[in-house]
Order: sequence, then C-alpha cells, then structure tokens
Amino acid sequence: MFGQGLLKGLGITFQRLRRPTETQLYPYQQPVLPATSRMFLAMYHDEAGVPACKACMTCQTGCPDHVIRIEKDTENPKVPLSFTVNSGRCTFCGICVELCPFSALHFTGDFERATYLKSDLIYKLVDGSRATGEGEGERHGR
Amino acid sequence: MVTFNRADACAGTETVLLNIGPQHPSTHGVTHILVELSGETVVAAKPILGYLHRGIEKLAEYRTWQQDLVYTDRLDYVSQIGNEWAYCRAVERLTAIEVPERAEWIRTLFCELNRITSHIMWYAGVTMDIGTMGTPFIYAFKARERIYDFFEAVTGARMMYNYFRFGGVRCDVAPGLLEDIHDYLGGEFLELMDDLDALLLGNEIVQSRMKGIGAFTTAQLVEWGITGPFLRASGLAQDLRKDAPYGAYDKVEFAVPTSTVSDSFARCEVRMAEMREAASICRQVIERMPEGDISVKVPRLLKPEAGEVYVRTESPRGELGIYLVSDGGPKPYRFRVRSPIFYNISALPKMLPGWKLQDALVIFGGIDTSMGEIDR
Amino acid sequence: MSGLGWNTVLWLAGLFALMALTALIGVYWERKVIGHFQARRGPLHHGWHGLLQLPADMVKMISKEDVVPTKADRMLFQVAPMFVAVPAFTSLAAMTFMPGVAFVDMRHGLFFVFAMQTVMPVGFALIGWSCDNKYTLLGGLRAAAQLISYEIPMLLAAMGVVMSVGSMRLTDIAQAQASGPWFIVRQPIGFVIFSLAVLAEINRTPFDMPEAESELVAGYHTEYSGMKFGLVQLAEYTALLMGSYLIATLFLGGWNMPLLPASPVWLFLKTVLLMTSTMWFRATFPRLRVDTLMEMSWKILIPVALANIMLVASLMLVLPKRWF
Repeated sequence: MFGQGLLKGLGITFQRLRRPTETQLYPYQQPVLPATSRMFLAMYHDEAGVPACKACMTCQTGCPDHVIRIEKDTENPKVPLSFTVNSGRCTFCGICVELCPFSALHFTGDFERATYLKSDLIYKLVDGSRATGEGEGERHGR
Repeated sequence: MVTFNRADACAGTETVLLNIGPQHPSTHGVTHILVELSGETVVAAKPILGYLHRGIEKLAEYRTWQQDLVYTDRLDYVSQIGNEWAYCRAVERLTAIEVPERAEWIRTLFCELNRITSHIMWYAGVTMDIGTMGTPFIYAFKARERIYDFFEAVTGARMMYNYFRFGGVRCDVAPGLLEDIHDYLGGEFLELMDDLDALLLGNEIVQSRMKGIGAFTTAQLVEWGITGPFLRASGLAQDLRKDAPYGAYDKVEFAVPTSTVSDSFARCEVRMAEMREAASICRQVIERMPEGDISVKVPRLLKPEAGEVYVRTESPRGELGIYLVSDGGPKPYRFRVRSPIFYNISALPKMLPGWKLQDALVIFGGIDTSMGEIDR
Repeated sequence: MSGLGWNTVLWLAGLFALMALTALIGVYWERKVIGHFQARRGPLHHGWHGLLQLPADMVKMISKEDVVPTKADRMLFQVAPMFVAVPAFTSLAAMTFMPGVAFVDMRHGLFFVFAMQTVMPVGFALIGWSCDNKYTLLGGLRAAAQLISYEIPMLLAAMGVVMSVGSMRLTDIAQAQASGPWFIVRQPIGFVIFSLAVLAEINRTPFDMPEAESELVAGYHTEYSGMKFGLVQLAEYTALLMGSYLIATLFLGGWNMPLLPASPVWLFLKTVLLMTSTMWFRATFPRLRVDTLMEMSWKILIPVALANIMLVASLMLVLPKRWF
C-alpha cells in the first residue's frame, strides 16, 4: 500500500530519538586515537639530547614532497646540524618513518597544530646538533 | 527517452543558462555543470572540468615509483585503496613481482571495505540530492566512521592510507581486529543496511522520484563508455572482479548484482546490493585468510625494465585503469589513469537533455562522481 | 474591544512577542529536534544546551550586512519580503485561545486567515523576480505555483468543517467539538487533505520545492541576507505556527480535551506537537518532484476534497445534528 514505506521511514527516525547520540564532543573530549595514527613527526633522542638521527639523508631523498631538510655537520658527517620539517607540505604518508635505517623518527599523536601563519608550520627536530624535543608532548589517545 | 518537450509549442520563449556548480549544494565536490533550461526542462548540459586539477599524472613523472604510491590515494579520495591496488598491480606486472598469498587476501579485504565506504558516500550524496535533511546521510556515515576506525587502526590514517606496497602490504592486521571487522559486518552493519534500505528504496517518494528516470538502454551506455554499477543496472553483468579476477576474488563466492530496469532506481538497488555483497566478501576473506608473509623484499630504488603496462581493476565507480610506461629509470616515463568517472560524466550532455532539472540531478547523482579522479 | 485603549496596545505587543518568539524558539527547537532525530545533539556550545544560540542568531541576523545585488530591482527587492511577512503576521490576529480570549474574535476568522495567505504567493513571485537571479526566479515561481495550487484543496477541506459548524468564527469551530467527537473523527478525509495542503502551503518537507537546496541553492531567498532574510524566515515560522494552529483548531478540538477541562494549554500542546511532527517529516522524507506535486494537488486532492464536501453534505442530511 502506498505510504507503508513512508511510515516505516518515520518509525526508523523515531527510534533514533531514544538511542544515544553519536556526537563526539571534540574540543571538550579528546578522541581516542589508535597507536598507529600518523600525526606530526618527532625524533627519538637520548637523555642528553643527542638525536638518534645519523644524517644519512634517506628520509630527505625518500620524501615525495620535500618536507625534510637535513643540514650535516661539516666536521662530523654522521651528526645532523639541523633537521627541519616543513609540516605545511607534509602529506603524512609515513615514508620517512618507514625508510629510516636507524628508526630515529616516529609519529606522535599530536594533531592540534593549526597555526595562523604557514611559516609556523616549519619546525626543527634537531637544532645545533641537539634534539629539540619538538612534538613530544602529551600523546592523545592510547 | 524524452518525456515531453513543451518548449517548441510556446511562442517567444527563451532558454535559460543555469550554472550548477562549481559551488552549489548539490554538486559532489567541485563539479560544474552548465545546463540550458527551457522552463524546468533541460535542453543541453555541459560538464566543465578542471577545478580540482592537481597535475598528479605529471607530478608522478618527477617522483620515484615508490613515491608515486602516495599520490594514488589522492586520485579518487573516496576509494583510496582501489587506486593503490591498481597502481601496485601495474608496477608488479611491470617488474614481475610475486605477491604472497596472504597479502592478496588482505588487499581484497581492504578493497571491499573501501567499496562499502565509497558506496556510503554515494548513498549520502544521492539522499541529499533528492532532498532529505541529511538523516540517511548521517545514519550511513555512522557505518563509514566505524569502517574508517578499522582502517585507522591498521594503516594509521583515516583517508590517505598509503597502505599497499609493491609485493604486499605495509603491515599485518591484528587477529583481534579481523574478528571485530567480521562481527561488525555480520551484525550491526546489516541492521543498519536494513534501515538505509528502508529510508531510500522503501520510500515511496524516492520511488516516485527515481523510477523511470534516466532510463537508458544497454547499447547506449556501452556506446558512451559507461562502466561500473551504472552499466550493471542495465542488465550487463560486467564486473572485472569476475571477468578478469585479481587478488582473491576468484577464491571467494560473490554475486554481481544487476538489474534489467536501467533507471535511477535500479542503480540505487544495484549499489545497495553491492554493499551487502562487499560485506559478505569481507566476511569470507576473514574466515578463510591464509597465514604467511605479507610482503616480499623489493629494492628501495626500483628500476623496472623499459616497457609499458595497462592494468584494469574494478573500482566502486567502474573500470579503473592504470597505464604505465617505464624507460628503465627510477621514475615512470608516463603515468596515466583511466578514470571511470571521467568517461561516465562525459556522457552527461547525452544523458540529461529532455529531463527536468530535478530529474537531471537524480541522474547525475546516479553517476557517483568523485572529482579528484576526474581532474587528477 | 473599542478604540485604541491600553488593551489594544497590550494585544498588539502580545502579537509581536508571539511572532518573534515563535520564529526564535522555532528555529532552536527545530535544530534540536532534527539533531536528535539524526543521532546528533543540535546546538550545544552556547549556554545551557545551546540556549544562548537564540540571541546569538538574532544579533547576527540584525548586524549582518544587507547586501543588494547590483542588478536587482532595488525597489522590489526591498519591498518584496514585506509581501510575505506582513500577511503572515497579520493572519496571527485571527487566533483565538479560549472563548473570549483572542486578539480579535472575528466573525470570519477562518476566511481572514485564508485571505491573508492568498497574498503570500505574490510576495514569493516578487522576491524571485526582483533579485535577477535564476535560482530565485525558479524558486519564487515554484513557490507561487505551489501556494496557489494548494490553497484550493485547503479551502475545500476546511469547507466541510465550516458547513458542519455553520460558522467561520474559529471560536465556534473549536466549541463545536466540545461535546461531540473532534472533526478528525467526523471528517478524516478532510483532515488528511487539509494537513497535506497546509504542509505544502508552509513549504515544509516533502513539499519544500521552492527552497530545494539541492537544485536551487536556497530557492527564493538565495540573495537575501541580514534582516531581510530574517523577515522571510520569520514569515515561514509564523506560517508554520498558523498552519499547526489551524489544524489543531479545525480538526483536533482546539482547546478541548475529552474528560478534562478545556484550557488553552491543550491548544498549545497540540500546536507544538503538530509543529514538531513537521520537523519529524523534515528529518525523514526527501522532497517530491515539482510536477508530481502539482499533479497531486490538481488530480488527487482537489477532486477528493470536492467529493468530501458532497459526502459531508449528504451525511449532514442523513445523520443527527450532534454527529454532523
């Protein structure tokens, strides 16, 4: 009979009134992200602040979008002088983390990095041969 | 088929050019269709493309074979895994890389999950097109969110997965997660599908809007180069998963939903049935997935021998082809995508004339566009 | 009521308060209700459960720049919303809440409401024409055509009630249902036709073709911003209130409730319930096609409404007066 489908549809929407809502209250409640989530890039370092990076340039050449820029120490070529990440260009593909032969890079769960200026998206993981600890804040989620 | 055209009977009337898009509530992405209206009847239509052109095909020529994989996600950003698979298959054929058995099954699983999310996107679009407030849209997106959660747990991203690798996949799937997916697709998802069916197919208003609208013959559709569910709704069971099986498609049982009516409503029915079939394929894959390696070792700087290859896959929208030419170097000489939607949308000037403006948008919704793939 | 006493001023103030409150609370209520139908929460951020959204919206509406398109017909563009808003607000004057409690207890209240609604299509057509925009033109003409088409079944369906009561005074119509069964029981066909026609008359889903956002962006009010948009919106919610009120009074017993004392509370509850159910429809249904809509009015509703009048007339002859 005509109208049966309409009534059924009304029934479906009415049932939803009783069920809990699906809204995620994002700014008030942080989402639970899986450990695999690819967010901003960070670097492992020891307690003295010596970065795990050996300036082998694999990530710089492997990155499809030229996000990473490494300056080598002229005296000691196995130490990076600076390690700059232009996250405004980053597509979060994870190739750098995958390629790194020393497993120096990793992703943090930090995704709240909106800035007013594009230049603020450029940050250094290593500056003056010392790890800056950038992006190693509190990891959201588990 | 032209229902009626009263324009000729009226004296001194003029046609009106109406821009649908590029910024318009009903266009999917940045589609721009210029329609010429006589009253509310479409007399001519012209899709205008290029608003989302990012030059991916050219960019790919300046990057290594591995780096290009990142860009395939961004072709059709609604069925990302399908693009990755097409490209991986092309490169694997070019370099004769053997893919381990388990990797093929994992690929099949995620491709089918992606087919569900892609069809949900179509469902959301088409229900909005016919004028709901977005209620079916939000119900459907609940399923999409759940499936994207599975994707995120495995691949680390919700949209741009970058999950497939030449000769396998990047990482294995945890057994617990496989069980979760199996349970979800066997229970909650099917219940939701019943609701979605009732809100779209069972609704008499939808039936009155869609039945008999956009009825084209199979011969017409073949002539226009239409592929995918749009073609299958006309009765031609052309599906590359059956016709030229890849992955684990020849080892699982599934039907190719078709319909003989070939109108907009039949297209909806076919897509809804395809979602259920995809869920059934996923469950079979999880039940019968073999153990073993998930990838083979591939040199970091891949240099395929000079040659060319064309690989066809069945994307949720039709036949997705990747054509690659190698000159023996570390970068592709030519990277070309045969995007199904580009061919489907090219037929709009032939499809739309004669229909009312509202019908035209229903027909357009049946194509299920994704501009990222058309403009590349 | 005689002359321009304090009484009149108070009633006028009440009228304006009612109309402004309906629109504001209506928008908030609609957002909340549709949100929950869609498994969302609706407004949430400002104030308790988003209640401060109302003043925020109002301030936004008033303080927004009033854009007039360069090629628009300036005069018409400014005036056209009045053609929609003024009749909508004026029709509120006919509302009665209890015997003796009314803005103006008109002898031809129902007639007055319908007369006011007849002006609105002119406003929609003018809005559509004045903007020099194809979306508004199509939307405005659709709205005008739809309103004109659905006025007829609405009138014809109301005719059955008027015949039965023998009066067009809204008080009399509601009072007639105090002792006997409500008109929804006495004239179910009339109720269905009247409700459908009212739904179309106030441009609600599934009859919201005029603003069909999927093809016409926002229909006739595409080009309006600021308070002019606000006026059109106000008029739409007022029409929604009036439509729900009419259904409640004509067919659902007005302020009467079986076994319970008559009170305006019942009328209020019925009206709110009807308004909420239009939101429920809006949350569930897609919209019809324009030609199906017209066909439905001219080929189905009008003949059935005429037949309904014949039926009511013959039943009035046959059955005892108490029932018809």
